[in-house]
Amino acid sequence: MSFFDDDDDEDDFNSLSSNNPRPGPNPISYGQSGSGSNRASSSREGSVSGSSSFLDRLRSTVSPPPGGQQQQQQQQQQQSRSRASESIYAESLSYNNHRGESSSILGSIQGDDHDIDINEDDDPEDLDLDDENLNDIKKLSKYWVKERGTVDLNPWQGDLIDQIFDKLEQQQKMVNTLRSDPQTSEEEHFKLMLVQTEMERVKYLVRSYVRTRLHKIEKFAHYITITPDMHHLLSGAELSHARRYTELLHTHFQHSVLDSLPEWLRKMDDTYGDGLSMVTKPNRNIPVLIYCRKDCGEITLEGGERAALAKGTTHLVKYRLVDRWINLGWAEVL
Amino acid sequence: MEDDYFSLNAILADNHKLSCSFTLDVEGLGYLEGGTENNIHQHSKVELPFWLAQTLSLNEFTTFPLPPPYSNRVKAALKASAQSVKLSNLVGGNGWWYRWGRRIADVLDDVPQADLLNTLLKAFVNRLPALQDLSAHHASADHTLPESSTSTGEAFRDGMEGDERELFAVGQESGKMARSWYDGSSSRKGGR
Repeated sequence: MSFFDDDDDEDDFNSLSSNNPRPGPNPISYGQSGSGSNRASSSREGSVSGSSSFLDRLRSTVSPPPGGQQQQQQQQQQQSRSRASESIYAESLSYNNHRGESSSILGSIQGDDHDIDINEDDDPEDLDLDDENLNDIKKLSKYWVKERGTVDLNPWQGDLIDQIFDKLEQQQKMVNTLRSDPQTSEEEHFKLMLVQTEMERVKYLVRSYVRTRLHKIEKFAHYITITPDMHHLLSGAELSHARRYTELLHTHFQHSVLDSLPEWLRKMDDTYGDGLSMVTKPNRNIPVLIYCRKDCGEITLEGGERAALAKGTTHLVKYRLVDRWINLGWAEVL
Repeated sequence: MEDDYFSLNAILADNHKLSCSFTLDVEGLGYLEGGTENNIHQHSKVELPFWLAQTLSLNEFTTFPLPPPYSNRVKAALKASAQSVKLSNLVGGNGWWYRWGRRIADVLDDVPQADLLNTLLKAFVNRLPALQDLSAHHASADHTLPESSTSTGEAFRDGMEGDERELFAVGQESGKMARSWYDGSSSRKGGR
């Protein structure tokens, strides 16, 4: 159904989970578990290289990333990991400190340890967060939910996606280095698995975001091609895909049906008397479920009723009545 | 239930016939009546598909009364118990009662229009709990037990309208997917 296949990851997960319950680090069994971890890492290597080429493929769909500094990217990456993996890494760091590890990548992590502590003060229950405090994954989740909840096409978050790709690559490199390092313990291999799970979840978010947008674009392909106002909402690849898709569809219709009809019946963009048009527009009357972050004032519903959009209330209203506030960010789509 | 030009359901719903009466004589279109006459006389009743009837009525060539699926009899039955009315037989092969009602409402004047739309809305709202209940139940029901055909569940399922059936399928499928995820994840983690 989707063209991003998840099956190869499941097999590797099963093989890895069967390898993992091992005794704690112990000098006698270390040799065995070392070879075991090599076996596991080699079985994972296939999916890892597959997923990095997949990342390359995904990256080709976005604009080329801006050149960033190595240190800045690493710092951003530290802050972007979820709280669970952050605490796990803090633990593994302290563990490594005891064992006196000195690999280059771990060394640079130790310097940023205090950054991880600061982020643990974030309270995810506090819904009045300013947008700057949200990390990239939470921002992507918000935009993903908004894209799925609304009928209209939202602006393409190209910068956010680029940042997330960069961080994914960084994290992938770190995981690879740590896995092939023979001094990492079994506990750390287990933690690496968790980190990789988180990476898979982020990739799923990105895929689902792109898939939702693709569905909307194909549905409104003709309308998008006609309306230049919508072009700034799409990325370059999306726009060219919309144009080609429209052409493809129209050529198909022409060859299969319309050429056999009389000349005056061949149009594909007629509009009828009652407003029904051949070109599908986004239907802005479809209701949307919103949660008001701020006091949005009153709106007038059909039939003259007024509804007050107070802070903290949830409403199910027609999209066109509240789209202004959704775009401002005052109302959040659930 | 979008009014898409390309929506197949909308096209099927539009095809349902409406009984109209012509307000004037029309020459040469006698075949529409199905008889052997050459002309259509004034006040003669003809059954036309809705898409034809709409254009003709807007141009005042024909008039039509409120069609039988939306008559007072049906309204009274809905008011009594919305869940036991069989909506699938009323309009067309698959039952497009809601869609057709909306199309008819577009052509009516204000007062009958509001009335019809209210009827549709109330019927839908009253049938929704039964629909939701049945779809959730069916996802986990044991199908080896023979269900009595007189139970209200079965009767409601037979009488479900086209769009209601789509909602029912969505509900069932999501229940099945949730269950398979639940079973799958617990077996993968060793029954945790």
